[in-house]
Amino acid sequence: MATFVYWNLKNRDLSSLVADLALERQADFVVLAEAKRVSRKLLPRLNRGEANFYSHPTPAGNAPVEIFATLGPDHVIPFHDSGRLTFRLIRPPDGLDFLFVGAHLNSKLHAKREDQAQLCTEWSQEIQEIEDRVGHQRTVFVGDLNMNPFEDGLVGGFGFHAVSTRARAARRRRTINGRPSRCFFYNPMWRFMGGSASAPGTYHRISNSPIEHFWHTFDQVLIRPDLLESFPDSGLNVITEINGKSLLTRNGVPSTTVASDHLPIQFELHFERKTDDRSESVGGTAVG
Amino acid sequence: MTVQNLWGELPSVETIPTPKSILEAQADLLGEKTDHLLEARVSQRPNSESKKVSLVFDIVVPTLGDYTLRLFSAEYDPLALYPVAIRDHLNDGEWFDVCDENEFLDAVSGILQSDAVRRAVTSLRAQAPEAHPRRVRASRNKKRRSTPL
Repeated sequence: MATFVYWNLKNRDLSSLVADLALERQADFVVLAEAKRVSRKLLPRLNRGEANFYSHPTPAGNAPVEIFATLGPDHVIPFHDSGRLTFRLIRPPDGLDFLFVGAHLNSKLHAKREDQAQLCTEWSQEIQEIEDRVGHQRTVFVGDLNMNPFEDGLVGGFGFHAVSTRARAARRRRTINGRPSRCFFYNPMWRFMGGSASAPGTYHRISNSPIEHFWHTFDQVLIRPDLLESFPDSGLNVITEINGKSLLTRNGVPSTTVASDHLPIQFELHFERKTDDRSESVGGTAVG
Repeated sequence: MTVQNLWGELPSVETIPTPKSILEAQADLLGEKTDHLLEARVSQRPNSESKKVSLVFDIVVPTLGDYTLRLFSAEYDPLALYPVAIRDHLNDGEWFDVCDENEFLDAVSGILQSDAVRRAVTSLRAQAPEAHPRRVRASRNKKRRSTPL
């Protein structure tokens, strides 16, 4: 099993908090957006105990997220980059390979909703291209998508096609006006929108706009059907405190004094042990 | 009776550079300029929504397991060639149109010579030989063998 934490740090130096988070959650992967200020300081802090993290920068030096992992460079292999997306082929020592896609998509400050939706059709095509190259669709997609789970770019059949239930995602794809859709993603973040949970989202904003959701769930993890069995819903959390220190203000929204305007998320992947039979039967063919 | 040629001299198709052929020439040039430590690839994406030619331009690093870096996308109508729509991925650009070959060359030059691409090329070039020196030699030999005489 591997534990992932993902956090958008708002370009703040939160290296101590991130190290505490990784230690407390026993993380195997630490994935950070807007983290240029911590990238050099973080590794020694992550490794201050018994942990042995490696930094995994992209060869081109311009990844949208910083990745630290307890797996070394032979197991976390840079595969493709394109500005807003970074693709790594993860080869766990005791499990099947999977494709990790890290993202930090365009902010609503710079892109209209319609533009975001249009860009999602390109990014989803790019994910499919890379899946075709690696020859499987064991893909996990993580990042600050700057869209809520219900928005067109996420839900659209030619966008990320990310749906709220495992059962729907397991159907792999559908036909839309005679054309095959993109393969589904399962988006488990739907259950982190609103309600009385301590974190009714991962990001909070107040504006004078007549339509304002206040809480947003921009930080998401999406799972392809071939990884559904490896992804327990119970392992997914939005984190509101680290070592007893709340990341929220007294009003219950992310505190930029303490940390970031985004809250971290945590999830688990249970790797399947490699056997001859299993490696032939799991994965399936990349579809359009 | 001799038939009079009312067509005149037909333009040779081979002499008309298409946006795709222009990009392929630039892709070849990167390999030559870096002793094939870096190569570039122009791929045509399926585009079922329209009949446009949809291209992506990637740098490929053979010694890093064929790691790829996407620089930009381009789309055009194969019958008209221009305008060409371009999106610069590394500089996070939006789609923009260029109306003729000169504008296209300027736009592609602007992307390939941008700071972001130069930084990436420098970084990739520095890492390429360190990765697997044996594979570099194999890649060069393979390239020489495939060059037409």
